[in-house]
Amino acid sequence: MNDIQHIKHLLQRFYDGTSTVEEEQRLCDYFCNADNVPEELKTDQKMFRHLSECNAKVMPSEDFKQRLLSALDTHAKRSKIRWKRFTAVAASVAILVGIGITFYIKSNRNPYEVTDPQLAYAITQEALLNASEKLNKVDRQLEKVSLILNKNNRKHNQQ
Amino acid sequence: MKKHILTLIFAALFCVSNAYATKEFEDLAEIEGVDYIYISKAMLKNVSEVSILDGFDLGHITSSLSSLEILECDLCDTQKDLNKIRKTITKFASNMELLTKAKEEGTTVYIYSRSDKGNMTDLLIVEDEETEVYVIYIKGDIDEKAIKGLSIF
Repeated sequence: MNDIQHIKHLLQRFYDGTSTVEEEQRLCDYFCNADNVPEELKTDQKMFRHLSECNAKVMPSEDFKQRLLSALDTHAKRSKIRWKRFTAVAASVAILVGIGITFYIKSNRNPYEVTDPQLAYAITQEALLNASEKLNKVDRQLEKVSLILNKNNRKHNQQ
Repeated sequence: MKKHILTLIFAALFCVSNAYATKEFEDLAEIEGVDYIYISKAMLKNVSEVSILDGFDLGHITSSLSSLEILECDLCDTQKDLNKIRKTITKFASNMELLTKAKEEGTTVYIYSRSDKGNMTDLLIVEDEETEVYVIYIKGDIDEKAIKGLSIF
């Protein structure tokens, strides 16, 4: 079997789907390197050359790793700067909001707020004494209730 | 950093919200015959200084308080106004714990409180008579024992 017939045989096996990887590599080598391919195999040559190009491994350039690392480094620096900017803006907004709220509160002072310390003292004293009396009264009432309950319990236990 | 900023903002907002008087009481103050007084944290700090000079030291109580509010209605025109006050106060106290309810000589006293981690933060005392309502609302770090001790002497 001459070379062309062998190639045709391999092609037949290729199109039948029965060719091995080595046979396909042989076809690829032939079509990629041969210059004088018979007219009836020109279409096959085009297809194999195209397949060969598609399968060709793209090798990165020598400085690829360095460029990649440098690009990653730049990206990290940029995101750090971006984060710093965000922090600065957020802090500024927080400060401005704080100042705004403080001014708002000062300008909208409660009309019922006591501003005279002497008066505030008198009112507070009276209110706290009142609260104190109420709380103590409640305590005394609770003590009374507790005594009654204890009395009842003792009676119940004696019976 | 983000967490810190958010914490600061929330803390600022919390402080601001604490600085306000109770909205419900302010609204009730619009009713004719209602007297309402608000004493701020800053003023309560002043009270402690004045009280030292006066000889009746309240500083140990008032210095840790955020506000003190008093609402009094003894000249309310109508029963409708009184009912509105009662309704508002009951609603306001609904998220507080009722410590006690005592009735004596026609006056009902309600004592409500709110606590955080065992410390009393809110104390609301309501005295309800037939034609009068008197309310004391204390906010802050409340020392109940110290308040009780005021009327023992």
